[in-house]
Amino acid sequence: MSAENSQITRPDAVDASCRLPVLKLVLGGLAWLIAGLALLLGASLVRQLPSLGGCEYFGFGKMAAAARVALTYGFAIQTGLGVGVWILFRSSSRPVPTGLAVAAGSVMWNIGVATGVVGIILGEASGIRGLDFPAYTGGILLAAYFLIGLAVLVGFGANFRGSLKLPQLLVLAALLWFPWLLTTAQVLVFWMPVRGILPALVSSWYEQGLFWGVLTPLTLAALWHVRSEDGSPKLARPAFAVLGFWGLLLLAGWTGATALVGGPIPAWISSVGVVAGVLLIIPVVLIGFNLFGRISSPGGSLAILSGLSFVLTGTLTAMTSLRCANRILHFTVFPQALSELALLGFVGLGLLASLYVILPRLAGFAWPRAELILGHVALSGLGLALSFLPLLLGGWIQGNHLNLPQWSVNSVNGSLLNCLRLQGLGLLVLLGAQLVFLGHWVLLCVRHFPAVKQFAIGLIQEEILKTQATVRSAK
Amino acid sequence: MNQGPLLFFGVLATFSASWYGLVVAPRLQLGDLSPQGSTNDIGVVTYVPAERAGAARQGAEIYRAQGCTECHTQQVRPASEGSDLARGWGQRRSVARDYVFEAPAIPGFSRLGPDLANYGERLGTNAFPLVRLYNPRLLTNNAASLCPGAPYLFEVSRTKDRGVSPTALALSGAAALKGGSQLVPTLKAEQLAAYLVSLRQSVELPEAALPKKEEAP
Ligand code: HEC
Repeated sequence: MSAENSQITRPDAVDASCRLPVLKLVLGGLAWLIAGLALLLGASLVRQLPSLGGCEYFGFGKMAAAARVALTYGFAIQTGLGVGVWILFRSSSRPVPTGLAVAAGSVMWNIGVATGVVGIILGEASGIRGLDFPAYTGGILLAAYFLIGLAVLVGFGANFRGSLKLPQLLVLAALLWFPWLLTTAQVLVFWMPVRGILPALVSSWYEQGLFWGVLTPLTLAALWHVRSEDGSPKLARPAFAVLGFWGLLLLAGWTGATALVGGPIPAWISSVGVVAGVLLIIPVVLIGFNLFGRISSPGGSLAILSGLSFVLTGTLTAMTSLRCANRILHFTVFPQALSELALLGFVGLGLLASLYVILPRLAGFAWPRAELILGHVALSGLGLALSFLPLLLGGWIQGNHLNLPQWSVNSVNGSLLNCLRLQGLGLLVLLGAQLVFLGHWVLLCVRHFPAVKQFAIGLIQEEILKTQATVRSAK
Repeated sequence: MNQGPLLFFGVLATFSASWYGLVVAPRLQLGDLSPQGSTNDIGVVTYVPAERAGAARQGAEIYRAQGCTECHTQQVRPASEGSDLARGWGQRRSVARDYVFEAPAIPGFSRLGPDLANYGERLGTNAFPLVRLYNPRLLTNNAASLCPGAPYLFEVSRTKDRGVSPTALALSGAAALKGGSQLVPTLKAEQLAAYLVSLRQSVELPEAALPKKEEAP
């Protein structure tokens, strides 16, 4: 990685066709990553200084929910889709014929996420975790996804020859899971709302399904794409990877029941949650065999960090499904820490690792500064560790103290305060890391400004010509 | 090899299995839960749990919108799962039937604050301390509280313009307002308070009996 050698593999027709849809999805996602981290940081700040939380719009509850929407829908799903589009078409060297439709879907998706975040801040949250946004946001997101998903599937199916490679398989599975999941959840929560405790069950089924069935395959595809040549990943144990993938899909939704163990639901559901949560360790280990080892791309260390986060997330999910651990950690800050590790550590860093390969390929220029890459990786790792480990410890302390009835809630929280402070610091570092990444990308664009301008103009012209051609050929 | 159909059906099968197990089956089991009716000595039928009245129902929406669920659960777990009962957060565990009228229930996921499933019960005959919504740290022995309250649901007005409001909060010490000013809860504050007071689950249900009262000897 050096600044002199700034011209890398010249973009071919596939890269050119990917530019508009992939860049649109990925850059939109990065903007939400930064917004989401800022909201999370704000939430953490007003939680520790509750007298600051007196503002109607920026209280802890609202900011935490808004951050979840920004990070899950704005960043993770959107960037994951962008990376997914790239993997699908790049791995089989076919240009994207439907780039404009995908980009249009992405615009709509961003509008949807924005209405969700603003809606929550203005006081229209649904109160249902995972689907925290107001009902109208759900409609926009669903329509946007159908546009993106259909455009990708139709475009891919139209030109596809040969056999699917593993990363492509993962992306396709995610593209198929997601619409079913989102539609079912929204119907039951917003359109034909079921009463009582069921929406809570639907929401945890949905959240876990979204993570293990959609975001995990997309991120694994990204991680394996980083270590592949000609679209075929170089894996230590490819058979384990395939088995692990199906194992994950099989267990994905079922683990949802863990969130309600001991809660006001029939006992068999709790038991199912425990069993599914514990079994999860099998696919996680199978996949774990294929996540480490040398990677020679600039984002390689991010991929390793992401892999570590994956194994840790899976192991801790399995461990905390067990009654003895659940009895302590349930309802503490630990589950929140675990979902941050999953979303920011595994998914976030995994997708970013693949962007180190994809973005320069799309632009035709290498990353200008090796030290900025190092800075991004180091700060991301530090931020992640600082925001996760204190809450792991804090959750343990909080849970043990909550289980002693003589501890008042205020004194329990007092014993937790330093852990919460450290987490806030971790989030700040994590935010700084992503700003470094974004700055680096901007630097790349500015360095090659004339080329980028040309490229932006070309991009739009190209799309228009292509659409005209498609329309003509359809006639 | 033709992987397309295999993938499609694999995905369909894995998805539908958990959908059936965690969405359809519970719905079949719980979907038509109804409140429990009982007839008293003079033949009057009462149902538990009772449906919330108007103001409290509005209050539930405020609770949801302000994100109070991020720190408060509303579910009491059995003694084997934690100290909920020992802490006096309820007399018995919560069951699905407790939530039949909630649209939808917000059982919560985090306990930075106490469980509120039986908050109304805990208040007993005391009126809801509205100052808790203005600033929980003004309550006695609660300076360290992390609860943000909802001060934006109160209005400062001048007694000269509006007259002395009967509902104005009595603040003293450092929190006291300047003379001639008063802090009046808005309708929303009253609704949220009504909701919090309405939170109670201590009714006898066939699947969740209340602990037996000590018999007088
Ligand atoms: C940052 C987390 C947090 C949020 C958000 C939060 N609370 Fe609290 N709440 C607490 C803590 C901590 C306590 C315990 C200390 C105390 O009594 O003030 C508490 C206590 C309470 C109590 C008293 C419970 C009892 O058993 O005495 C009520 C009522 C309450 N909160 C209502 C609310 C309402 C209404 C909202 C939404 C506007 C809200 N809380 C939002 C943390 C939170």
